[in-house]
Amino acid sequence: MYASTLSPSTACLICDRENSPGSILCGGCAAPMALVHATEAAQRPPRLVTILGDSNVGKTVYLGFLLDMLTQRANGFEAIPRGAQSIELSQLVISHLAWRMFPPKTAMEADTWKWSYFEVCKRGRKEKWVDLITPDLAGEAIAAEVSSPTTFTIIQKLLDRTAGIMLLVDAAAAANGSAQPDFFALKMLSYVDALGAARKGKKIDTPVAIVLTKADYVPECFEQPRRFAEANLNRLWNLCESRLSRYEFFATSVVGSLGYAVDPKGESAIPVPLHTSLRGVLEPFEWIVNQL
Amino acid sequence: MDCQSVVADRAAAVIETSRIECDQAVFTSIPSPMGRGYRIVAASGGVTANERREIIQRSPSHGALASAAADAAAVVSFGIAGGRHCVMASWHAEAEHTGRGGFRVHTQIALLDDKQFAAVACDPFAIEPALRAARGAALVADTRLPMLTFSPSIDRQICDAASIEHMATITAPVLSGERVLVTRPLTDASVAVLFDMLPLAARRGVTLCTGLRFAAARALGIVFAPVKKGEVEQILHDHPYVTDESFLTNVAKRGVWSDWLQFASRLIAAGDRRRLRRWTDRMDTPRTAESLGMLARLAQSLDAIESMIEADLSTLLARPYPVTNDALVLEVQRSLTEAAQQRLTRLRAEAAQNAESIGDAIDLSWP
Repeated sequence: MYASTLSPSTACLICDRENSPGSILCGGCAAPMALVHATEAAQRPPRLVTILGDSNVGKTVYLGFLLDMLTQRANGFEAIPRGAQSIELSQLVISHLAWRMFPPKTAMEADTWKWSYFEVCKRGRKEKWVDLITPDLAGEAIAAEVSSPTTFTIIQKLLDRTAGIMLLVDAAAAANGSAQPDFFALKMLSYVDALGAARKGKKIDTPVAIVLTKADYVPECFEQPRRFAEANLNRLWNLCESRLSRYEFFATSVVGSLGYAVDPKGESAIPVPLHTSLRGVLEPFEWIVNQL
Repeated sequence: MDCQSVVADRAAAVIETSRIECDQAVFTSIPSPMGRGYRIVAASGGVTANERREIIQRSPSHGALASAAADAAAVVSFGIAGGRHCVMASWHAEAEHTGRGGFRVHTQIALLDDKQFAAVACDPFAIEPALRAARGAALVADTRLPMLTFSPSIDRQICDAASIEHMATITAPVLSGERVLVTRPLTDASVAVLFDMLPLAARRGVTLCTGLRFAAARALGIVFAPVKKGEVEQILHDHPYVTDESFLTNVAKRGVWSDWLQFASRLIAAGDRRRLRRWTDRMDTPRTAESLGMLARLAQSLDAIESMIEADLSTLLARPYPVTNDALVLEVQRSLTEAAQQRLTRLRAEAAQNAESIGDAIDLSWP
């Protein structure tokens, strides 16, 4: 009886490619097939929230702490992981920072990316359960796709299906005068805008939370993130006004204080996170969930 | 007479004298005004947008080298969009600049057209030394590189018998067109033996990766990667690979290629890779197992000529050769016939001389 209910193949949740039964990763986009099996058992359709950002902006650390805070029921949230692999990212981040190390760089190879699937609810008068899928993407893969579309088609597939976007931008670099964060964010949103050609000039309706990371370097960012963005990320600010119907700016910080370890030759300095001090991690996520 | 004098030196000269100028690129992670993180940081002018895209898709990034050692290295070879052939060599460089542990992975890339790839006998290990030398040049991000100019060379290091045997078992599925996952650790010198055993026409289609962690997205035909048992099962389930382990315990699985692989292994073990290479470099059209087996048997007979007695030689000369259009086989058949006739003539002459000497001795002994 069980055999007769098995389908000959299983479609990937992200790219719709048919995979043989029992496949661990999708043969097309390397997304875990466990997501499909988990969604089959779910009562609600899953919502994809995509975390985007340049290399070294802090995506892995932010997402790891966010998921861990949700699991620890911070701020009235309750989050239930669907599958053991959903815990890997937060375990990676928390474990490394406990050892005063940043987690390893996320590789560009898609089969190494960590995917998390959580059932999330904010307890209160109006409880709403949301099934969230969040992949931890490599910044270089995002940058490569933005520069040359179809280099990493999984990114396009994710954005086609995403219910919400968190665009992480390095506030410290921007405050330091670098135009790199502004240009990257501009290119990223332009790419997202171009994907929705069918909208025919209408604004992007997908909620976009622009998260200003490493804001501990720029404390004023917490007080007025919008004003900071307008002043230091003006290109991004202007595009948000023109092309997004739902967007908000947030500031976040994870590291409380940073030391630098210098090698004996004095040739390189490695940043050492001395302790964590989370600030502004939940707010962007809460805003996105409220938009869904 | 042996195989060496049979086969013209033309093929050997191709790889030893050509000087090649080709496009090159560097894929790595160094900060620059235009960006940071893994990307093509510099390239020569002829690298197209489609080629750049594919290079980015297939190049190794952080932590992709199979070994965590500072002297880890990798080689990747595949056909690229647009018809050229891409050979990459990767190494660990200094510590990763954002301080997240591990080394920066530096990948030097060469792009060769059909003619250039044929000039290196379709052997990526002939280009690897040039890529290693190019790595030493000062690198400035976001600049245009000059063309890569080099003379291909093959560094024929000695391989132990176990490695030769292992490579022979891997060559069998490659010749059959299967995708192979090799989990047993092998040195580049051992892996290079594969290209000696493969006919030139087969080498042309080989896509290979050695020294990198397995990544299905690279979609390569031969992958040398240390993979744990559980992961092997996962890979085999999701992708159409066969593993070397499935062949190691069953030499019979070499199947139709046994004769050729046995012959090739014997030459390599005897330190005669150059001789083997002269043969395989001339095989620029697809070869069947029958054809390769025939060549191997003919070559073995040719090598054994000097130890054959008159009866064996007569049998050899009387036996008709299988009909074939293969120019190389016909050449070896002719040489074998010639060598057998020469030896037979020599043996008969010696026999006649010996008989005469005995006759004289008998005459002298009679009063």
